Amino acid sequence: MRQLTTTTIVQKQVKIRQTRLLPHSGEIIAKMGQTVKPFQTIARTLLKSDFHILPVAEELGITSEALPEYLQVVIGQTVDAGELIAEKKRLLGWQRVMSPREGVVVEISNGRVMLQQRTDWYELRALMAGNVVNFIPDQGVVLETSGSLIQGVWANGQEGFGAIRNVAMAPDFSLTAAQIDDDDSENILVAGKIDRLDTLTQAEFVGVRGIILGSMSAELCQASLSLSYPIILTEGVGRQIMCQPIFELLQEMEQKAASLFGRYQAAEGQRPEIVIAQPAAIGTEVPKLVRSVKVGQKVRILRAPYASQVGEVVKLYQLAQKTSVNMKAHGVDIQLADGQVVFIPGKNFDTIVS
Amino acid sequence: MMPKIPEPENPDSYLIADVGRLTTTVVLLDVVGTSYRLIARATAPTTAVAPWSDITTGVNQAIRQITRSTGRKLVNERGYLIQPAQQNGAGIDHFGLVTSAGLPLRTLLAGLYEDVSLISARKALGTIYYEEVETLSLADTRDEAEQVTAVIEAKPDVTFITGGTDGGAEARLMQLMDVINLGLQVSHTAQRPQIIYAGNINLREPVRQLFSNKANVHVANNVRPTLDSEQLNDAAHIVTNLYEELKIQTLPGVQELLDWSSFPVQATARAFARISQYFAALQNQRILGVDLGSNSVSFILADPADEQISVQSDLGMGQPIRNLLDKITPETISQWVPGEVSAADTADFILNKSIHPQTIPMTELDLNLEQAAAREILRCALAKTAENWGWDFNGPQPAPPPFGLLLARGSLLANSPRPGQAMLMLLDALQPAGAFSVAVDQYGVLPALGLLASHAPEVAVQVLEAGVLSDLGWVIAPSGKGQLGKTAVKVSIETTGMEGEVEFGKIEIFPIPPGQLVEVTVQPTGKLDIGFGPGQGRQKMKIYGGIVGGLVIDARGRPLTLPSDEEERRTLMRKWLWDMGG
Repeated sequence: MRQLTTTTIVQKQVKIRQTRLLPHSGEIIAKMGQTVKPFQTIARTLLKSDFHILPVAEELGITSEALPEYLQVVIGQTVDAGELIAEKKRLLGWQRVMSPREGVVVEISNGRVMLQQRTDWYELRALMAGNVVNFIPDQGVVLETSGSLIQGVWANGQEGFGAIRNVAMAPDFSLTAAQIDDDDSENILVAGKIDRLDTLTQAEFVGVRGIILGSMSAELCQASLSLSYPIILTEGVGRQIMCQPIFELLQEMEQKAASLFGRYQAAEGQRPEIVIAQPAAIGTEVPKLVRSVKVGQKVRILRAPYASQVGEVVKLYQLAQKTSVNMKAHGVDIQLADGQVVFIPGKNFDTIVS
Repeated sequence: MMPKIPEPENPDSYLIADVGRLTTTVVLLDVVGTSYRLIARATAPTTAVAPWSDITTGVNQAIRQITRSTGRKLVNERGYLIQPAQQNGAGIDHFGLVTSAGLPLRTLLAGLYEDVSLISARKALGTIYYEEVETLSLADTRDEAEQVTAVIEAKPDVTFITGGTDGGAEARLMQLMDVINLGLQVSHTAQRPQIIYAGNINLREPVRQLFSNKANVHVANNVRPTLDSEQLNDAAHIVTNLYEELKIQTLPGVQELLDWSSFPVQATARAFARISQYFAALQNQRILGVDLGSNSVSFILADPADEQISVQSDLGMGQPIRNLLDKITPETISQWVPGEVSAADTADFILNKSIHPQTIPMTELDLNLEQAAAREILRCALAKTAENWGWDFNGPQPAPPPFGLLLARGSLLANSPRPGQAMLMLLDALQPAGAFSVAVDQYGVLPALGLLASHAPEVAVQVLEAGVLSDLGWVIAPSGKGQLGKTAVKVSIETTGMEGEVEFGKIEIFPIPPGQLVEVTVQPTGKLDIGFGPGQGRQKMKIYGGIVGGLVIDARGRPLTLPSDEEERRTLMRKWLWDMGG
């Protein structure tokens, strides 16, 4: 029976598109067709909306409707602290409302003037070398490049760019604090897992550019949300080893520059991604995604007791089968690396697109 | 027995797709002999997101499965549904769609008082899938500028404004709306903002004037026209329409399915509520419906003439399962596991399930953890529902109003390895008291029947009557406390001649063959109450045997108390599971 399965891309050379978006609307700096570098700013917006509301009509003792007559500013105008906002002639002299701070007049409504204070800019970097192939007004751009692409399953919401250093000698290798030194400040570290919090804090102290792991515990995932560097997990939460195809590709990419896209919307089906861009390489077409499982296909098991193991589909079943816990499910027989053949429900594996 | 509805001379056939967030279920309903039956049912992964990004892929996959199992050709060579049904048996007369695949409606809620207008607003919003992303009220201690920032950062799909009884407070509500207006004025959103106003009737015109240049304003009846009255239907209707417009109509590929459809699309929770209410009317009894979905939990309290819906989109067995760890500790989940498992492993399990929500357990421990999480998800969702709807609490445990049938759905319940496990999950989580029967929507057909209940009621009735539900059986569960080891309930099954007593703290099954009608006399002891008053029994109750094997006497008391000693608790869990045939 034809079964649809989810996929995980582990591609060495492929055409990659990344949509780079500002957190809220702003100014797009990059131009259509422009070639950008990883650290290049492609868009920017004010970091934080810091507003101040001035009850101008109330202070002048007039109605909201009458305010325009007395206003000395317009929407979009930049004002300094102490600058005149509105004034009204009195019997003796003038009654004035001054700006309490510098800012931009962003709205005049219901007798009130709203100032947005100038704050630091949030600058959106390209994070990968490539070309601007699409433009999303006020929001961001789509970049295109060629290179390697690996999809993860979880990330801590951060992004980064650095050189890959494979600390792991094997997919189950556990990274420790002692293995991270000052030379790693430009590096993205690759290991099977991390077992201790001090490894994460040591990496923060050194200033690593990112970490790629097979898995780590829920407790460490929670702790990593406050870190400044990205962590991408390729398998899941717990003690899963890194699956062999991802481990091997990362080993091959030693010292290559990589981009970690760990900001993603899981609810919308987005995945964290690792991109090793090689724009000079000959561009290849995006592979046709496998949409139904076939005999001979390479798949990865997602759940215990075989989580992270990669095997080959050897048999498809027409009818639902009983699982080891007596649930009925459609699935396939998978031959694991050690030769063992196991029945795995279709929901419990994904197809490796490599 | 349900009433017979006259059958048409040329009965139409129906193909209904229920597109959930993870799974798509398609059912084929047609006449066999003289009445409608569930002919076939197939499931496929929902394909709303990458790598497919088109829900028709999953629907087509399920339809092809139905074609394979029935031999009935439903789509043509170009992939289009064959409509109407042909003389040669190919095709279908009517297609329908229900769905819960859309993301929840991001809602900014504004009102005066938390325990008055806001609680009513949440009831209206809780009839669909929504997420409260920001709340403004008089209890808000932020200054106006901070509130404006909050409005901008919330990026709501909908702003729901309520507050003030009709003819009551105006000034403070206007101040809140002024803040919202400022926020909307400086927000640069791709979509035109949507405002629902369901507050003081006197402010309708000022609201229109304030927002209409920047937003679409929808005016509903005040959800709280007086302090002690509510009118939710109008606001709930608008919310439902907006959900359909913003979250269903924008699903990738949905337009093709809508083109096939003979009926307007319906949200799954609404369709489940509809069939629950329809069922309640047919059986003339109150039904408690519970849908443990992957991305939401819905409770329906359906009476013959009315229904209440409470949908919670921050809980579910899929991605939102991780939210459970924000509400309770891992130990609270693992207390339901009959084996040994650490808090750390429980937390790992929860996050992993959130990452791979479609997966199913393949080890006993994983199965136990998943069923343990289900208990706590249901319990948390029930507590929130009880709070919103003003139900009683038995200590920390909500006590749902008495009902005659517990109607449950959700893939974990429907696919339990043994029916006793599903029954025990429901009893542990909801802790219902009284005498009631339990049925599970084993084939995931109820939302489809809910859609048809409005358009082709004879189909819904006949399919229900044909026994499409899995009847787990009857339960008698006294509320209150007794003494461990002392008799809690005396039972006499007159038809089989079986008699027995159940000690307090135990759960026992009195065998009755599935489907067999028997008369049962039940007598609780002391102050235990099975719904007829403390210590009051009932003679010759007519009940049917279910697939758990008989009448379940749950004499563990309400609220359920678990031993604090871990080993003792695990032993008890194993015993309860064993006693329920699990």
